[in-house]
Amino acid sequence: MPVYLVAAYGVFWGLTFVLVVSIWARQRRLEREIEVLEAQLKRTSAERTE
Amino acid sequence: MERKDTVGLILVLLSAVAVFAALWMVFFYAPREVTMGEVQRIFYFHVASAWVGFFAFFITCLAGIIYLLRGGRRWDILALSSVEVGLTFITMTVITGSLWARPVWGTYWTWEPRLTISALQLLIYLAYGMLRGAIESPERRARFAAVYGIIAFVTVPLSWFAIRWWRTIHPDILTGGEGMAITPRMIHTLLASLGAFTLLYVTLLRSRIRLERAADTVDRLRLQISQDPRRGRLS
Repeated sequence: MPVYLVAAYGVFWGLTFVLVVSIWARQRRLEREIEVLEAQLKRTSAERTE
Repeated sequence: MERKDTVGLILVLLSAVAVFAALWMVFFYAPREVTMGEVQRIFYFHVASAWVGFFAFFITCLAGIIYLLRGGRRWDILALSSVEVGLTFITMTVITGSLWARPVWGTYWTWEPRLTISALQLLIYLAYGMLRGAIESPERRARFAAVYGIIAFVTVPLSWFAIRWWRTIHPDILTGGEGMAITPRMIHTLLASLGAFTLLYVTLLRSRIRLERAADTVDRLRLQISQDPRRGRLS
């Protein structure tokens, strides 16, 4: 199989992988951040009701 | 916090099946092209990625128009997300095109109209993200991005018509170009690749939109915390 053909399909998989991993990593980081911030807000409202 | 996304999971599975089916067709169903040989098989994913790139920029343009007419953060999110996905596919198009050109034209790159416009298009949409980052006010940023996305879309018809308006060595996919014989099996494979890539675009776009919404949630929660009169006690 010609090297250019392998390289071209490698580029397709490589770039798709980079985009998917980048979205997934950013999503995970944001979800963790949301979790921390929501917990912080819950604590605040609990302190208020006390 | 794990949030279930059943639709997302179904889309991922469908995209994976479609891409693998298209790959199978590229290597086992489509015949070997007589003039270029095996390297012609780059054509299927090259054209499909260009289609998705163009379609993504069209969605950005459309979202920009709707944003300017009606407003609404959702249109700004759609425009931004579509640019990011589109840029990935246009980068794919440029690189796979160069890899095809080397054995066929004898060079990775030549400054002929279609390739020059593609390079410009890539830079213009790369600048979209950078310029957005440079504007502080969310309202101004969204308005600017909408106008920019509409103007930048000019590169899409320009790229499409470049091979018809000017003398160029780039093949025309509708005719197959000089020295390239298109058979029905090749057309089926191209259509399958176009379908698979469109599905992949929808899947990636949806994930990218979810990401932007999560970023908005973080901003909203931060604002809520910062407005709390007792925030000093929390930190």
